[in-house]
Amino acid sequence: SNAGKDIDATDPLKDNALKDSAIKGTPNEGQSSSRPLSSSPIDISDNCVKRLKKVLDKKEEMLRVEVLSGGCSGLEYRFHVTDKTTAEDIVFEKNGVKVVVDNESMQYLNGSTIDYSEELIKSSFRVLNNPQSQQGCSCGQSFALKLDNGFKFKT
Amino acid sequence: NKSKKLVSNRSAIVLTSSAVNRIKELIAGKDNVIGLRIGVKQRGCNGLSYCLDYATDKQKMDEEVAQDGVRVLIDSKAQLSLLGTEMDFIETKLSSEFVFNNPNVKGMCGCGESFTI
Repeated sequence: SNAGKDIDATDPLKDNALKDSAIKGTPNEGQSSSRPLSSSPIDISDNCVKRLKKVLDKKEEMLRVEVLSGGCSGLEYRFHVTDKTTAEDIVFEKNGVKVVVDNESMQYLNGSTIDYSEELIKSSFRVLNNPQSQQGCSCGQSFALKLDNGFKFKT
Repeated sequence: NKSKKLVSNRSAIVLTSSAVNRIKELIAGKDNVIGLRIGVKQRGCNGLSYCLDYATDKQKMDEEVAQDGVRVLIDSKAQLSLLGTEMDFIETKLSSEFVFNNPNVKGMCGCGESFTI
């Protein structure tokens, strides 16, 4: 008789629990099986921490990493500075700096390292050692998915 | 037209003031470095990409560009593809990079790092 009533989605307690675990940077274990998060989260390199401390003016600001379709290899990384998060976001913190990744991008970034590379010609944030990526553009901004690595598209 | 103006300058490449400042910053304190050397490499998904290095001596075939107290050497193989280029330095919160506004370029990779002529 209670068919059609989605308890999970309307339960405010569960929502809060989700937010709490997100702030600590732990993937939401025990959540619905539709979130394909493994136990290895995102690593933030020391160089990245150093650079973020330098460029973020306010305490609320953090680095958002997104994966979007685009670039010459199919998918590309995008970096923004943001001070807003939504319930969909997972926040990772290291030494006082925060990196935020939304749920959708998280499945493409799981296990990666966020780094700030400094070279003569270009210094920028980048994603290193992404287990999901097969090959990339020479600039490292765009990548293709490794489909034989157990990666499943969300349906 | 921008590219026409650059060519009439008679210098192989033009540096913007932010590029000049950045080069000064980079070579400050490095005694044996006389400037930067620009080259192109066959690499990247569009054929060529720029490479930048510290220069310690001027080689025979290098083209030298001296502007506002800094020296930039252009590798002999890169001279044709770089002619008329404006070298800029752009710094944001997320990245800081040298950008080459090259009028000879016909196509570019999405990231702007690799190009065709």
